[in-house]
Amino acid sequence: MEHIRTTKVEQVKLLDRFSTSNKSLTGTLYLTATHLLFIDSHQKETWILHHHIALVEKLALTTSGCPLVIQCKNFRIVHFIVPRERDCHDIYNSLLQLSKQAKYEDLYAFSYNPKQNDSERLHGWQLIDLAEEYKRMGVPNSNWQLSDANREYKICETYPRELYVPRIASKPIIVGSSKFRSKGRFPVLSYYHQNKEAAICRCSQPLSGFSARCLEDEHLLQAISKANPVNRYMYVMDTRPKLNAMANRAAGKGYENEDNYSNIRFQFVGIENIHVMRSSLQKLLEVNGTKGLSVSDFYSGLESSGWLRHIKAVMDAAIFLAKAIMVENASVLVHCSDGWDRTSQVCSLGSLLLDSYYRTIKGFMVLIEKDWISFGHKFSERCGHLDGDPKEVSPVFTQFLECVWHLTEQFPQAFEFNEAFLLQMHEHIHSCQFGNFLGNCQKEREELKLKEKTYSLWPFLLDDQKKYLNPLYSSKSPKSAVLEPNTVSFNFKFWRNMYHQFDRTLHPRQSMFNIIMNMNEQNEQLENDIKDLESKIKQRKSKQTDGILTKELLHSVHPESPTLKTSLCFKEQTLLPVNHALRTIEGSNPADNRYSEYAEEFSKSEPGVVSLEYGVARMTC
Amino acid sequence: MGGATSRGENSYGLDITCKDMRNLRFALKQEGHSRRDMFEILTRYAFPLAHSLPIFAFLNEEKFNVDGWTVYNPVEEYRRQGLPNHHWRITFINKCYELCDTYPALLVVPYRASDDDLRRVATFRSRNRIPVLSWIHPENKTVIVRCSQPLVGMSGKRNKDDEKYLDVIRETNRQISKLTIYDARPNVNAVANKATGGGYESDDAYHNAELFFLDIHNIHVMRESLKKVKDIVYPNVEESHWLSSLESTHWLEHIKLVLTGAIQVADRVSSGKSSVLVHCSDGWDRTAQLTSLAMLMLDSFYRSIEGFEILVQKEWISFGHKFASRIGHGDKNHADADRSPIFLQFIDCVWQMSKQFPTAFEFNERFLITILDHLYSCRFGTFLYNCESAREKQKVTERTVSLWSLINSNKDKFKNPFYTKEINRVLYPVASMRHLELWVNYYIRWNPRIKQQQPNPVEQRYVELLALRDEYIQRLEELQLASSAKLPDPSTSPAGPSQMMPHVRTHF
Repeated sequence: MEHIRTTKVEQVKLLDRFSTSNKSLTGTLYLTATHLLFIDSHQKETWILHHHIALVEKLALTTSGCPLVIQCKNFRIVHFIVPRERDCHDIYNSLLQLSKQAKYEDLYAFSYNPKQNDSERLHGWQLIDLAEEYKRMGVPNSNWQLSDANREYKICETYPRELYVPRIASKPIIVGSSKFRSKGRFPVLSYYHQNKEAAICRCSQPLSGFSARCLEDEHLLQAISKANPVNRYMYVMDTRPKLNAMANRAAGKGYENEDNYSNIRFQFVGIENIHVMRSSLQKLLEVNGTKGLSVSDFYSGLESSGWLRHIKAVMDAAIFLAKAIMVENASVLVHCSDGWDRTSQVCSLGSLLLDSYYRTIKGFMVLIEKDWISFGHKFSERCGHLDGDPKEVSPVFTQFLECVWHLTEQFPQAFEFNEAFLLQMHEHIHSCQFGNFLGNCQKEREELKLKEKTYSLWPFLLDDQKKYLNPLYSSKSPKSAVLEPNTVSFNFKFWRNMYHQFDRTLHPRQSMFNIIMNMNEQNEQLENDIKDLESKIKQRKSKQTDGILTKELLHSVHPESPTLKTSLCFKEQTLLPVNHALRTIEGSNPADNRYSEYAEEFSKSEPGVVSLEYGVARMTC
Repeated sequence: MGGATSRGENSYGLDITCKDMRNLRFALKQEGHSRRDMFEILTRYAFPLAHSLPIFAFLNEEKFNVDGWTVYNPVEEYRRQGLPNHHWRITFINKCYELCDTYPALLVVPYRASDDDLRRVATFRSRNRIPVLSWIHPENKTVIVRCSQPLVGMSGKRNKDDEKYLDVIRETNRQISKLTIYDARPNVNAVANKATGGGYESDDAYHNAELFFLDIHNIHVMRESLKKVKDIVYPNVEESHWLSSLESTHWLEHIKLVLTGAIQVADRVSSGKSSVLVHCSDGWDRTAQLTSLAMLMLDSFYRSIEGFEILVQKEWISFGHKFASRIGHGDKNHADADRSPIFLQFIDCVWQMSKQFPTAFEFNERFLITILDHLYSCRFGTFLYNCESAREKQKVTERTVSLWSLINSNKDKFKNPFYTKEINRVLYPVASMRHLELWVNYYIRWNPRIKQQQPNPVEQRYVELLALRDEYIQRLEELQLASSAKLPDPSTSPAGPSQMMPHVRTHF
C-alpha cells in the first residue's frame, strides 16, 4: 500500500485508561493494509480496523516517547507511546490516509474475502427478502398495493424500487404528492398492523412554505386514512421540535396545515436534529471519556451532555406512535425534514414495540433492512465511511440501538437477541467489512454493484447466532404482547457496555447470562442422554430374548459408555471458552466454580472414582 | 412510622411519614370526627415509649421452628477464625460490662497485654472503647482491630500504655512494618475533635504507626443526604434533572467513600502489608461500616446467609452500634439529631457489591430489603437497644424473637440461585461513580410508577433451569437403575448400580 511507510514498530507501550494503576503493556505495533495490530508480550492481540478510526492525535513528546492517541467509532480509545518520533509520525500519517478513504472501492468490503463462492454470496444477499416481509404483514391486500411508480427510481432516488401505497392512490396523485415533498419522499407504507388494519406511513416534510398547498398530497393523505376501515382520522407526527419546523417554512418547506387536510391530527414530538445529536454524543464522550473516569461529577456530566434526554425523546415518540395504533386504532404518518433520520428511528422503534417478530434475531435484521437500509438512511454519510463532510456525520443509528438496549433492559424476556448482538451491529455499521451499510440509498448501492463485489453481513451473524441468543428469551411469553416501556427518568442509564465496552474492570450481567447459557446447554445434553437411554431400553424390551443385544446394552450403561463420555467432554469444553467468545473479561469464572463445587460435593462420597473419571474425560477430549 | 400529624393540606385526614421513605396521606370523612381517635391510637402504638407502653417485639408471640438467637455465638465465631492462638487471647474482663459498657462481654486482645494494661488503655480511649480484634487473616495473621478515638485533646496528651498497646498489636504478626491506622473521619473533623478532648494518633507519639484519613462524613451529613434522596423520589420522581439531582444528594458519593475505605482496609490486610486499626470518633458508626465491609470482602464465610447474620450480630449489634438512637425505635422525637441511616448505608454498600459480584453472595436482594424492613418494624428484638449490656438487662433474647428466626426458617426465599461457594476469594468492588447505582428497588419501591419485576426474571429463569436439571438427573438415575436391574447377570458388569449413580452426577 502506498500509504504505509513503516509496517512494524517495536517496544511500543499501550496504556489502559480504565486501569487505576496506570499500567501499561509493551509490545509490537504492526500496520497492515486493513488493520492496526498490537501484540503485547503475553501474545495478546489487539486489532483495530482502519475504518473504525475516528480520530488520530499525536500528542506532545514526552520523555518515554511519542504519544499517539486513537479514538475509534466503536468508542475504543487507545493510547500508544511510540519510542521514536519518526516512527510515530509515519504511523500517524499512514493512519490519517487509511482511515479516510476517498472512494467506496477502497473500503474494506471490496477486498474482504470470507471464502464463499458466488452462489453462497448471492444466497447471503437473498437472506432478507422485503417482499416476503410485506407479505408477512399482510400486504398487498384490498386496501394496500405495490406501486411501480418508483421502479426506475424516477420519482424518488433515495427510496427503494418497491413501495406500498393505498390502493385508491393513483399514479398521478403519487407523482403530484412527491413533487410537494422534500427530496420527492412522498408518503408510503412502512408497517401494516394486520389486526388493527392500521398503518405506519413515512415521508419527508411538505414544501408548504407559508401557504402553499398541493391537492394530490392532500388526496394521498386522505387515501391513507381511508385505507384504515376502522378509524377515519390519522395522526401526522412531525418528529421535529416545533421551532425547527417553523424555521423550515422560511425555506419553502414546513409542515402540514391541519385546515388543508381532512381528518388529520397533527403532532410535534420534538426530537432534535443530527447536529444536536452529534454534539451531544461528543459531550457524552468528553465527560465519560478520557478525562471523566475519575471525577465525581459523573452524573451531572452525563446529564449536561443531554444524551439520555434525546434517547428518551425518541422513545417517547415511538410510544406515542404505538399507542395511536393500539389504543385509537388510527394510522400514523411520520416525518421529519427529509424523512431518513428521525423518521427511521421512530418508525422502526414503533414497529418493534408493536410486533414481536422484530424482537427476534432475523426479525431485527428485517427491520433494519426495511426502515433503515431500503428507505435510504444515509449510512455512509452518517457513519463517515468516506472522507466527506463532517457535518453529515451523526449517531442516529447508534441512538436507535441504544433505545433497543433500553427496551431489553426493561423487558429482559422479550428479545431473542442479547446485548452482544446490538454491539456487533454497531461494530459493523462502521467496519465497512460487509456491503450492507455502504452507500446512502438503494440506487447508489446498485450502482456500486455491492451484491457482486461485497458480502452481506446477515448470514455471518446468523451463523454465529448462538453468541447472540438471550438466554432469558422465552418463547412461552405472550408473543403478540405490545411493549409499553416506562420512560421515568431513573430508567435511563448510561450504556456502559457500549460507550465503555473496552473497560475490562467489570461485566456482571454478562456472567450471569453465561451461567444460564451453560445451564441451558447442559440440560439439553441431559435431555439427549435421557432420550438415548430410553430408546435403548425400548429396543431391549422388544428383543429381550436376544442375549447378544443385552450384552451390548450392558456395555452402553458402562461408565465409559460413549454417551457419558461425550457429556463429560462437552462439560469441560463449554465451561471454559464461552467467556472468551464474548468480549468480556471477568474477575472470576463463576461457571468454573460451580463445576468445582459439584466435583467437590461429589468427591466427598466417592473420591477414587471421580479422579479416575476425570482422567478419562480429559484424555478423550 | 416516623411521625404523624393531624394537619392535612387541603383535605381532612391523616398524614403519615414513615421511616422507610414512605409518606402516606389518608383522606377521611369530616363527619363524626373519626380522625382524632385514629390519630391518638396511632401515635400511642407508633410511639409506645412516649406512652410507657412496651415495644411490640415484647408482645409478639410468633413461633418459628428455628431459633435465631443461637446463630451468633462469639466463642464459636472466634474459634472459626482460629482464635485464641499464640498471639491473641479471649478475655472476660468485660463480663459485667465494667471496662466498657458499650462493648460485648467477650473480647479478643493481644496475648501480651494484661488485663491491667487494658484498663489503663481504656482511660485513654473515648468511652473506654479500647482496640480489640475484629478479624484475623487465616494465613498471614494480620488483623483488623477496632476502637474509638484517643483522648488526645487540645494539649496533645499522650498515654504510654496506649502507645505500647498498639505496638503489641503491630508485633502480633511478626512483621516489622508499621501498624496502619485508618481514621474514618475527614482530617478536619479529626482535628476539630481535639477541642472536645478527642483527636487522633500523632506521628510523634506513635512511631510505628501510619495514619490515614478516609474522609467519611459524620451521621448528620448522612442523615441530610438521605433526606435529599427522599426529596427527589417521593412523592414524585424528579424528571427533568434526575441525574444532577441525584448527584447533588451526594448519597452515592458517600457510598463510594465508605466502600473505598473498606477496600483499603481489606487490601492492607489481605496483601499482608500490615495489621490495621480502624476508628472514627466513638467507633460505633463509621468504624462498624468499615470493619464489617472489609470482612465481607476478605472472608467468604460472611457472604453466606448465616455468615452475614453473624457479621451483623457481631460487628454491629454486639459492638454497640446505637440502633435505638440511630433509628429511634418507638420514639416520637423524629427530629432527634442522633438519628442517622448508618446501617442502611452499610446495607446499600453490600447491595452495590452484590451487583458487582452476582455469584459471590448466598443471599438475594430480598434478604437485604427484609433486614431493612425489620430494622424499623420492632417486630423482632434483633435491632432493639444500643448495646449488649442494655439488651441483657432487658432479657431481649428471652423475651423477643430474633429476625434470623424468620429468615432461617424460610431460607429458600432469600437465596441467590447464582451463588457459587468460594473459599479465599477476596472481593474488590469497583468504587467509582460510574459503577455505583441508586438502589431503585429499595428507595423508589413505593413509587407507583416503578413496576418491580418480582421475582427477578434472571433469577427466576435460572431457578427453573436448576429444577429442570435436577429432574433430568433423577430421571437418568432411574433409567440407569432400571436398565441395570434388568441385566441378567450383574457379576459380568464391572460397575454395579451403586457405583454407577455418581457417574451421572459427574456431569456437573
